This record gives sequence, C-alpha cells and structure tokens, in this order.
Amino acid sequence: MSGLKAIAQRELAQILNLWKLNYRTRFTGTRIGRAWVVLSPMLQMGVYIFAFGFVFAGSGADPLEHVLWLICGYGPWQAISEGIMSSANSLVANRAILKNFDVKSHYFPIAASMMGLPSICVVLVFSAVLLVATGLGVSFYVLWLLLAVPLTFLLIMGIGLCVSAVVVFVRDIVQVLSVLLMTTMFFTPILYYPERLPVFLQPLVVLNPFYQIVQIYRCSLYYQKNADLLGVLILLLWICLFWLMGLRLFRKLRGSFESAL
Amino acid sequence: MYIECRGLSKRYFASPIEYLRLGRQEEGSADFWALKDISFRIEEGERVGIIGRNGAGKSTLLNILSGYSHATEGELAVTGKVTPVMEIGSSINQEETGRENIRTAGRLSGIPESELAGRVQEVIDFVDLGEYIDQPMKIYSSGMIAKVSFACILFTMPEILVIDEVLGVGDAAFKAKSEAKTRELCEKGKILLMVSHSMSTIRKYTDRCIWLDKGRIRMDGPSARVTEAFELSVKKEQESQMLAQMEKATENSVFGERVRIGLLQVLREDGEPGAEIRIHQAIRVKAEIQSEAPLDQVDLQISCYSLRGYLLFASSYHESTGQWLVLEPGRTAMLETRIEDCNFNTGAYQISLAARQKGVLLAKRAALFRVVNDQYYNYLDCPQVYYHNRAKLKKLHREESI
Repeated sequence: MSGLKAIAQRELAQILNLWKLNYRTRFTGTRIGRAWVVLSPMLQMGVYIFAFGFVFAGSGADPLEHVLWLICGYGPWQAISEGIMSSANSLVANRAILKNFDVKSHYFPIAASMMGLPSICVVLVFSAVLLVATGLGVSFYVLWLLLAVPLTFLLIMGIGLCVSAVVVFVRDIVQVLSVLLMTTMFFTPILYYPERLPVFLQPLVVLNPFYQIVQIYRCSLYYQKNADLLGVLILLLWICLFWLMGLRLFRKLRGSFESAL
Repeated sequence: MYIECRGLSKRYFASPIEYLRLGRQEEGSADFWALKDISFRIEEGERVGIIGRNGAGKSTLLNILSGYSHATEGELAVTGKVTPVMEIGSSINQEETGRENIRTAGRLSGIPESELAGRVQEVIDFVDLGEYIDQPMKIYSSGMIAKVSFACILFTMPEILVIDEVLGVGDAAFKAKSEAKTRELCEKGKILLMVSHSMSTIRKYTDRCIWLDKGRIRMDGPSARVTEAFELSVKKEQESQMLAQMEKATENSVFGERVRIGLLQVLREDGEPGAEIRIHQAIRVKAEIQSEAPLDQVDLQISCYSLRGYLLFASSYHESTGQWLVLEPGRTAMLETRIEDCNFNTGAYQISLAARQKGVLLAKRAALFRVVNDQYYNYLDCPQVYYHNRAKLKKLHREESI
C-alpha cells in the first residue's frame, strides 16, 4: 500500500512539475515575470467586464451585481479556454521533454489543462469582494464550488486529451481551435442571459457542458441556490464522454507521436 | 531483467491523416515499413550496439524499446525501467539559465527535492561552464547547450539505458570527461542499448552488436565482427557509388569544337582492347585526334585518376618527346602510348586525355579501365595475405631469372 502511495506521489509530482514548467516557460523573459500569472486573467476579465458589464449592459440590475454575474460566467470560461488551448499544444511544445525524460505523454495535456487555475482563483477573490460590496454575503451554497472547480478541470482535461493527441498529426487544429472557442463562447449564455438566445436554441442550451459549468458557479455565488441536478448529470456525462474519447485516442495514437513530433 | 522482441515491425503511414483512422489494418501503397520482423533477446548485463546506414531503423527501434513509439506488429517484452537519452542539443527552456534548466531536468527525472540541490551542483560542476551557468540558455553556443543536455544524463539512474547517438559532444576535455562518465553509467546500467554511427564508439562500449539494414536485422553478433563487416559493406557501397559517378563523368567528358578526340581506348599489354587489365601488367592507351583547321604547337596531356579522384600520374607529349603535335584538317593523328608496370591495385581507374594549344584546352576525353587480380588475394579485403604473397612472388621471380 505504501508502495502505491509512493508511486501516486511521484506521478502527482511529475504533473505538478510540468504545470510549473508551463508557467515558467510562458512568462520567463518578461519584465514582471510570475505576476503575469494573475495579472493576465485579471486584465482580460477586466476588459470583458467593462464591455459587457457597462458598455452593453441592460438597464435595471445593480451594476455590481451584474459584474458578479459576469465574473461567475466569464472567469470559468476563461479557465476553460486557456486550459484547452494550452493542452492542445502541450505535446508539440514539450517534444524535447517527451523524448528525453521518462514522463508519461498524457501528463502533458493534463498539466497544461491546469493553466486556467489562476483564472478560477481570480474569480473566487473578485467574487468574495463583490459579495461583500453588494451585501449579498456568502451562503452555504458556496459549497457547490467544491464540485464546480474539480468538474471544470476534469472537463478541460478530457477535451485536452482528445485535442492534444490529434494536434500532433494535424497542427492546423490549433489555429481552428481559437476561432472555435470564441464561437462557442458567443453561442453559450456566458456573457448574456439564456433568454436572449434564439427560441429554437433555448431548449438545447441545457446540453451545453460549458453552460452547465457556468451555472454551477452562478448558483453557488450569485443566485445562491442549489445547482440543477439534471444539469450536473449532463455535465458529468460530457466529462465521461470526453475522457473516454481522450483516453482511447491517446492509447491509439501515442505509439505514433514520435513519427510526427 | 531482459528485453525480448519477436517479429517486431513498424509501419509509418504516408499521410498524417491515416494515423487518425483508428483500427486501420489495410496497407497503403505509399506506407513505409521502418522495421520489419525484428527478433532478438537481450539478457541482463549485455551491452548492445545498434548500427546501420541512415534510415535503417535504428532510432525507430530505440524509440520502440524506450516506449516512446509503439510497434505496428510483433511482441515486445521489457522488464526494467528504461531510461532514454535520445536527443542532445535542446534545452528545456531557452529563456531560463543553465542552472534552472538543470534543476528542472532533475525534477523531471524524479529526483526528490531533498536531494535535488546536491545533485544539481554535481551536474553544474561536471558541465564547468563558469559564470555562463547563470545566464539564459538562449545565449549559449550549440556546444554549450549540448554539454548541459548531456550532463543532465547524470540524473538518470538507469536499469536499461538507451542512448541514441549522443556521445562525443563538446570540446576535447569535455569529450574525455563525458566518455568516462558514460562508461561509469554503462556499468551502473544493467542493460545498455546504444545507437552510433561511430564504429569505434560501438566497439568501445558494447560487446554485442546488431546491424540493421533497411529495417531488418542483417547481422547480430560480437561487436568487433559485426562492425568490421558493416565497415566493409559501407566501403564497397561507397566504391560502387564512386564508380557510377566516374562512369557518368567519363560519358560527359567528350568535348571540343575545332579539335576532337575521336577515340580513347585502354588496351591490354598484348594490344587487345578490354576494359579489364590484369594487375602488374602494362597498359596501352590509344587515341585518335582530328582537327577542322591546321593547328601547330598542340600538346597532349594524359592523366590517370583513382576511384577517389586522386591524380596518380600525369604526362605530356611535349615533355616526353620535346616536340609539338601538328594537326591538319582531314587527317587523323594517332597516339599510342604504353604505361609500364604501374603497380595499380585492383579497382577502377580513369584515363583522361586533353589536347591543349599554348595552355588553352581544345578537347578532352576520358575512359575507364579496371585492374583485376585473378591470381592473388584482394589487397582491400586482406592486406596481410597480399603482402605475404607478393613477397613470395618477388622471390620466386628472382629465382626464375637466375
């Protein structure tokens, strides 16, 4: 048993090392270095909040409450988007490590998926400030975050596994992916309410895993109510599907990575 | 601990899209088999070299054995932790310093944090880059990057050490240090597998050698025997390539507008035409030269080149006779010369004839001939026997003369 624990610790340490390495690779050489880890999502979130919270905001709602609603949606989306993009390119970018070190290839997309973690941290800190500022306060529904955060990263990892294995052979996917993610963001009620979607699309929105993720964050912080269980179930099904597909793709393709890397 | 392959084959698809067609079994016409039906067993304690020409499948085999790539067909059993050292010259992060890269390599190699500082210092001492160790690796020369990459091998604790052509980096001092360290690593490693194009490296580090040729095992045996056979094969192949080049050059060598060398022929000692001359026999060269205009002060230069392009001898008509050649239109000047026992070894040679007037090239033509030895051992294959027989022969010849 202690042997298994040691192996698990060692493997976890490998993933953690790769995760740290991703950040160092991304920000070394910059003037303020690691500060970008937090500053980058904050700035990006700030721009979207300004645009959709004030410039395109509807009248009526308390602006601070609307900002909280936006942060609960855009923050997790930013983590998802960042994580998927990073994991998509993770095998190609880490070719030298993959070849020279005894590191399991699927650890690369898994570690890269965690690149969105600072965005989630920024969401939590900003939300805490806004909950106090708006007087909404923190309810026990905040415990839903204990499910929301792991599910967010499990979803990113599942998608990351699928995409990263294919990108090794078809590099064009990385170019398409950024456009695809932006399209998904605008077709998912993240920056707007679901009622603004065309009527024929509204019933389908429950099947969207990104919407379901965002809804859990909003329920725990903004709406302060239980998340929709059917929605959580749908999300879990998507996660299982992406992981099954990702692992199958990985198992089939990893033996040929060397020919394309 | 052992490595066992049975019928191992690796197919590369012609198109990257084909890899995504999971479960594809049928073979495409443009698919490429990098390895075909490879079978061997390596026992604990063996140090095995893998040799072969470029594209023979050496690196593919190492990639499969180290788990980086998978075989398309066949069975592979590897018991023990494989430590691959496949690529030198790439840093983990160019923006970070050598020290930081070494630390990261240590972490990726699974060194516990408690031991890391000491091991990193050990590697830094080995690399000996002075103050450069704290500079970003992007300013390093390729040699310095290779040194750091190589030194990171020191982190490995090999059970099965797989090395792909990574020895001999850096300057002479570092090379000696790295060779000593590699030998030490090899002794730690219970199985060593090494790919190298350097036969001396293979002979130095390994006791068994597998020669791969076009994805198949051509020879498997003691390193000395296999490397010797491989070197001989490479030499023969090089010679045949050079001969083909020489033949091509000879075909294209005929030129001259006003003056034309209509014939250049190598004859045997008895005057019979033939491209094959027996060793130690005289060679006769026959040439015919025509001119469209009257020309005087023409010189003919004859040169002989070896297969590798070395000039063996050169002679000129003017230097030999003190006279110039006079060419008249409508008449053919014929030249016949005899090259006495010129001690050519067996092999192919080129005779080249050039007509010049006051140093200006008027025409040129070349012909090939081959010196054969149907009586004695081939000098290239077996030099010691050749010398022995040659000595005896000379002695016999003297006795006969008496």
